[in-house]
Amino acid sequence: MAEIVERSLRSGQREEFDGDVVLIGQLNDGAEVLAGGSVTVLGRLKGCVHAGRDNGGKSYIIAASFESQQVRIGDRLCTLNSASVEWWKKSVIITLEENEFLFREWKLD
Amino acid sequence: MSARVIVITSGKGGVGKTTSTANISVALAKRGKKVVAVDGDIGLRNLDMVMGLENRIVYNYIDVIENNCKLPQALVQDKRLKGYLSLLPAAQTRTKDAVTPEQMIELCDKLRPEFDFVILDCPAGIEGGFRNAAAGADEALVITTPEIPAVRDADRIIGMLESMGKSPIRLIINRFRPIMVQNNDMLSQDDVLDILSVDLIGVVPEDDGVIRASNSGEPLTFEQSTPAGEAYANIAARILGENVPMLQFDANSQSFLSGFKKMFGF
Ligand SMILES: Nc1ncnc2c1ncn2[C@@H]1O[C@H](COP(=O)(O)OP(=O)(O)O)[C@@H](O)[C@H]1O
Ligand SMILES: [Mg+2]
Repeated sequence: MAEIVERSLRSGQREEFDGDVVLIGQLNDGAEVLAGGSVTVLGRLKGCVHAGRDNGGKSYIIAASFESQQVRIGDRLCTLNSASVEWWKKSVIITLEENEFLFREWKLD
Repeated sequence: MSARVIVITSGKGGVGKTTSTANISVALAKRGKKVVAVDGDIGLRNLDMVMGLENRIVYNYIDVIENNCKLPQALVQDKRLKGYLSLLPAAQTRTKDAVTPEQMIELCDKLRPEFDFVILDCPAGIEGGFRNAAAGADEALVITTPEIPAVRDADRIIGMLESMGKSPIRLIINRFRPIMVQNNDMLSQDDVLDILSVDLIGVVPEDDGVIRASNSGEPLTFEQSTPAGEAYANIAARILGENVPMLQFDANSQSFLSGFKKMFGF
């Protein structure tokens, strides 16, 4: 069961969840989502997401538009780098594969 | 009569809250509405100066709250718009802790039956002063300049106003400079709205007249012949529910953000 949040999170707003979260809205710059499980942002992901806090990183992050300076899964941190910048403003699913961040195109089909 | 109580806020300081409070209050009064402008910036009051009424202050609303005087004694009538425009001054010698949110709500409720509009000038930031000034308001106008730090702070304030249940919350972009936008040196109107996703009620251009006006104590909307004065008159009309088209400053769709991204290669 995922928690569903139907609003945008603005700068300074921080939401914490035990399980999975689906945010139907934007995650603005300066806002933060912390989740035990996976995080899906059906809007722009500009703020900070920390997914998989409770399961050793076996979680994913989905963003309808990836525009974030940093994301975290488990205890791993990914700051914007030459690889992730390729995915800027694209729909992505982000996972950890052998402790490395993997970005793939995310499509609803 | 039951007034609409509107708080004028911003996250960042110095972006034009007091200027906006004075000009919108004058513009609404000129439209025949009974308006009281309330200085919510206790200890740093300057709305009285910008409105040119500082010499006429006897009591302030802390005196009203503490029962040192009656409400009408504290109201300063603006003789230029007699019967339509008043100022309710703040105490200069007190701090923001002198009032509680409950007392501000009570004060606003005292003003409601006497006026069409209560316009609250708010201190900057997200601390107690903001919470007090916002407590009694129904609606909010958030001021930002087209700069990233100001916009980010506006986002923060909008989030707080939303969780306080204020509605509508509408945005004023102040100190707008079309030439800088054209040169990709300033966020465009679309860039700001893209970040904040909030309703825009007006764009006020950078205008030297504003600075002259605050020094002379005569808000621009008394004359309305300058660009900023016209923008504020339009904002007042939109507050009254009129459908006034936005002045379009940036016909050029090339925005600052896209230029910025090109510069850094993403
Ligand atoms: N549109 C404008 N054009 C030029 N100067 C402006 C404009 N708006 C505000 N200012 C100036 O900016 C300064 C800060 O404005 P003020 O209204 O006192 O901000 P705040 O109340 O948010 O601190 C003042 O000196 C004011 O004259
Ligand atoms: Mg001020």
